Amino acid sequence: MDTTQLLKGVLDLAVLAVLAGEDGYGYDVVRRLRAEGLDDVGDASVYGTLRRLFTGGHLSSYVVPSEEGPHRKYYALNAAGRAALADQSKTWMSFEQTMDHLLHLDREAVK
Amino acid sequence: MTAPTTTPEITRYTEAVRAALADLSAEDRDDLMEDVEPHLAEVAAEQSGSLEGRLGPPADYAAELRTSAGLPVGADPARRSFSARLSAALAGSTLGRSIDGITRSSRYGALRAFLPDLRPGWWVLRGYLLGWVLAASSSGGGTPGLLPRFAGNYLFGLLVTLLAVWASVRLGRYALRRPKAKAWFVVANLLLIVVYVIAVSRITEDAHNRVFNNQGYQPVPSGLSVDGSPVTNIFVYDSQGRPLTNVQLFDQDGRALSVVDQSDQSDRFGGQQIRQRYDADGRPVDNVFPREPVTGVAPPGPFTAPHLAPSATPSPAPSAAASSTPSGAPSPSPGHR
Repeated sequence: MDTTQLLKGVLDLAVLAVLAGEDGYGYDVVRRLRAEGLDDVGDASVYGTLRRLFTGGHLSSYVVPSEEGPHRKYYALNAAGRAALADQSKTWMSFEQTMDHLLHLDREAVK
Repeated sequence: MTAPTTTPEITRYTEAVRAALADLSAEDRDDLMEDVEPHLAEVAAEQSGSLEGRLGPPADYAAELRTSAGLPVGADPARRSFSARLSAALAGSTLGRSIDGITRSSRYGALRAFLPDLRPGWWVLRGYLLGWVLAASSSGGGTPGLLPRFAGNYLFGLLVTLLAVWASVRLGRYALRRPKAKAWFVVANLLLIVVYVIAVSRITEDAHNRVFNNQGYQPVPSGLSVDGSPVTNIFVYDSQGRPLTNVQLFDQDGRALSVVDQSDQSDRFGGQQIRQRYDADGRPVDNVFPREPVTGVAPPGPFTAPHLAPSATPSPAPSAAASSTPSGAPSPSPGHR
């Protein structure tokens, strides 16, 4: 099953979760998502998501000068972002339980 | 890890992404691009292989960025604005990069920031030009000056000009509030300028023609003239101041010198018709001077000519030849030996 379609629905949540752990700049977020196992995440998707969450008021940002290249714009969760994370986490977990349940039924039917 | 630097590849990719986002508002696009450039730099520094191989075609990257950022999906290419298509076509080309270099320079930015200040001035000038064109087309002749006359009247001209300026300023303020109609205003402005240039060129052309006609720049009249006034007769004297008659005059090319347009039968001499002279074969000859009236002989000129000093032209005079001939010189004195 193609996970890119699934990713689209949960990318907001995944990005919020990564930033809840630690502030990060764009490419850092991409790498952390991949390190956590979301190999198929697209660079541009992450950057677009960060931009949308920022304009939606869920993130704050600050610039950190870098000695070895362009300055990096770090993103951090603000209060609205944390609330959104909590809310979406709940939605996700209930959705996951529903799916688990469905799959469980399916498995039982197969037996 | 090497320090991320901007390479031509990064610039090309960046510009292609920017072009694919050309239909977005400048603010949205700049926000997105602000993240793209450092991202590409990091990717390029971190991994070997082309950016395209790693991130996919710029257009796809741009589409992914756009969708995930929740911005409207790009319009059908055929319906994209002309400037969007133009910048897409220019992206990555040398011309496109140099244009981009100019538009992103701080001087260009300063100019762009300064131009809006000139708007009211342009509105007034536009109104004035409009009034001028109206007046010029109404006057039907005569060069409109700085203050154009309307139907030949300066007061009307002033009124029309003021009215046009007022209308232009109103229009300008209206146009500012209607950014969507911008293209139409640009077209209308260009049209006015074209009409103005045509009107000016026609008027100056008219004026040019009038000046030339007034000063008599007609075909050069035939015959001789001195300082612009025609010569009607020529009196010829010899070196002793005696008047000569029946003298034929020719120019350096052997052309007969005549003093009147041969077709001009009204030419008169002393109130009388001049006598036409003929050569031995009966052909009319006009270069015989002085010309005489039909009856009688030519009156002597109302002047006397001076006697000339003897000619200074060197001539092989015998005396000169004798004095300069060395053959007659005495032989050197023997006493000197």
